[in-house]
Amino acid sequence: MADESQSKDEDNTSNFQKVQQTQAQLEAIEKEIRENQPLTSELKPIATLKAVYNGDDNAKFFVSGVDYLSTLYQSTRMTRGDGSCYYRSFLYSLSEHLMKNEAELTRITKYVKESNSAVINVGGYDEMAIDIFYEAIVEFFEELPKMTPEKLHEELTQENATSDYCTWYLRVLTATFLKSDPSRFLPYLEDGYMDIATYCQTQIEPMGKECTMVSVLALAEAFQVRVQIEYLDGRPFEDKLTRHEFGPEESLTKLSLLYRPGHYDVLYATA
Amino acid sequence: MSTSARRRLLRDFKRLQNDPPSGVTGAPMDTNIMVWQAVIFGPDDTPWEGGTFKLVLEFSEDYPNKAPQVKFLTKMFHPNIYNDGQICLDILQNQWSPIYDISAILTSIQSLLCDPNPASPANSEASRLYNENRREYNRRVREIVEQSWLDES
Repeated sequence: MADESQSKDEDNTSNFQKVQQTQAQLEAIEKEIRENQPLTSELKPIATLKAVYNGDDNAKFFVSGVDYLSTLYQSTRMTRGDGSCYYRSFLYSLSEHLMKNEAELTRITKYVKESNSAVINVGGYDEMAIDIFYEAIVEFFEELPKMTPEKLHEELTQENATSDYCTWYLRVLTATFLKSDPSRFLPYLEDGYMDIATYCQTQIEPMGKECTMVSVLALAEAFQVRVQIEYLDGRPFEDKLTRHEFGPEESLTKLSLLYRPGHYDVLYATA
Repeated sequence: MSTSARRRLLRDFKRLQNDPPSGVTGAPMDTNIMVWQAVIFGPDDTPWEGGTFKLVLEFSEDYPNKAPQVKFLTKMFHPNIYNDGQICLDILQNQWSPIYDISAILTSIQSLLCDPNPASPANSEASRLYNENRREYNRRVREIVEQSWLDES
């Protein structure tokens, strides 16, 4: 008996150490990501994407996928892999499009400014919980017409600032949109979620949770913009990569994003 | 953004006063709104009943974008609380969301007392006793409760 309980105790201790080690490893990885990946990078040539796969024989379709992409796009802007990459890519790409289209800027600024009542009444969010984030994103869109591309980059790359505040509000808008039509979105939830509110609480609201397909759809429709995503996922393809499109086809704002397993970046079409 | 943390903390404070959740209290230090002291009372009808557990919460200028650092000052015996008082609770780590204000943080810690999460052990002995010898676990918790009365610092 004594031996048995002792060995259990050892198991427990080693399990405990394992959990602590895992926690320490996670923290080390997060730190490395913070130090080596800016929130959003400078523009990089599409071919940069190949570097990751060079010399990897299993990455054949990634490499040919990059070749395919380079026929359509000239550059990419990479975002930090911290769980908010989709929202950051969306925000950056959207901002650049709006700087070039006044009518769309007016429409979207109006939508964002008026969004707080839906967020409170439909989303069920407490005004006190959201208003700092709401004010940050409204201020950001209002400042956009005066910004240079350099200023925009600086604004969206600064740590613990505009990008974080705006991306969290994008999460809130995504959740509010899902909650506005639960019967439509419920069937799309993965992992057997039984209601939209719980899904939003565990999968959308926490800062580091990755964006899922249903959230991509909701955010595009909430902003009434077209989002087209190229899937560089390493799967065999014939002449084109898979491309999924979300949001209204007729929208004047069309964003191009790149998906690689677990990650999103911005794409820039060849002029 | 540096003032938004303070603004939000002032409002958290007002809310805690106007709409106090049961079983928890908290207030900023007189000299520094970025550091709070709080007390969680052990829930009735549980081994924690009667305990008064002190905590300190430290906020950075990034609150509510980032979670505060929360730590028990009172000595605890709980599967998810480290010996130095640090707490292993998802909403203070990877499930943090700005939705949580101070009331919500304290209330979540209070429910953690009676509802430990076996997946993230922070105190291996507490974790083992909780799983294998609940009677002894409860006795140790009662000891902590009694100690919490003496610790009137």
